[in-house]
Amino acid sequence: MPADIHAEVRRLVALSRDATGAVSDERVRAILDTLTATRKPAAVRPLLKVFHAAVRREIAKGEARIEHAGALPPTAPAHFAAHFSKRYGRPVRPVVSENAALIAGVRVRVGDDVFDASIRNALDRLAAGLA
Amino acid sequence: MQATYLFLAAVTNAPPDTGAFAQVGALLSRFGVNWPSFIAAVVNFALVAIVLYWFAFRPLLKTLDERNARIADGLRFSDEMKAKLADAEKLYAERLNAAAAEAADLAREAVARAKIFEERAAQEAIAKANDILRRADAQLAHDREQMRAELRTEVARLVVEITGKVLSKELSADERARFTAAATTEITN
Repeated sequence: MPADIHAEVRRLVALSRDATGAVSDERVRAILDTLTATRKPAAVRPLLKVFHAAVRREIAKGEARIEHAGALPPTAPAHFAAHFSKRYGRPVRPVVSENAALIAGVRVRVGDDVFDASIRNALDRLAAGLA
Repeated sequence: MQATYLFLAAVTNAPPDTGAFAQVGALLSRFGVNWPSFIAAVVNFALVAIVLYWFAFRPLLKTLDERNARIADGLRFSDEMKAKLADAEKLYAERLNAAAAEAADLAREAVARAKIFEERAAQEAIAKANDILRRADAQLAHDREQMRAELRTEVARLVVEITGKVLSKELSADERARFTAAATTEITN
């Protein structure tokens, strides 16, 4: 993978952000339309693969994926969004899903960072400590 | 003796006493002695004696002398050989004694070396045996520790698994909600 592709992808990702710093659907769509219209498919395919992965990372950075077991307090998603937006300095929106494997508690993933306060995590740490 | 004297007198032609000479001549004639024949016989005898001496006795004496010399040489050689034989026997005995002593030394040295080698081999065998035992103990300890670790891991896995299943079944909805609320507070604070 040429280094210039990554440089161009970084530039395209920067263009994809809106005024709030989040990746905008409209901007990404506009970039894709421009690329497919101005470049040959064989030439644009590697760039699109890298761009796709980068956009997914950027979207993950803007999402707080909240997994929970047991009833989540109604105000919890908003609290998580506010907390992580302040922590990372960019807008983070909550995406809530239930995960019974956690037994009880919450696991939040923002980009590559994971915050786990579940019983499953406590048991896993207990197993690692006993081993 | 008298005849000899007369003979010498006749040969030397000295003017003997003519009376006595005549008497001797007469006496000899009476016994049949003829002076020319006698002189011829004497000369003949002398010649024969000389010839015998020169061609018979002298070579014979020379041969005898040579034989005597050979015998003497042989005896001397025999004496020398006896002396050499005695020296050789003495030297042989000395060397034999020296060889025996050297052989005894070599035997003692060989025995000492064999003893040293035996002791060294025994020490090496003991060292190897100790090393094998030490390695076996180490391997045994390692295996024991590995088994303990595996057992500990397995027990921990079972404990966690059972605990997880028990908690999944036993926790009520309210308890889960309270725990989740506490976890939310823990993460956001």
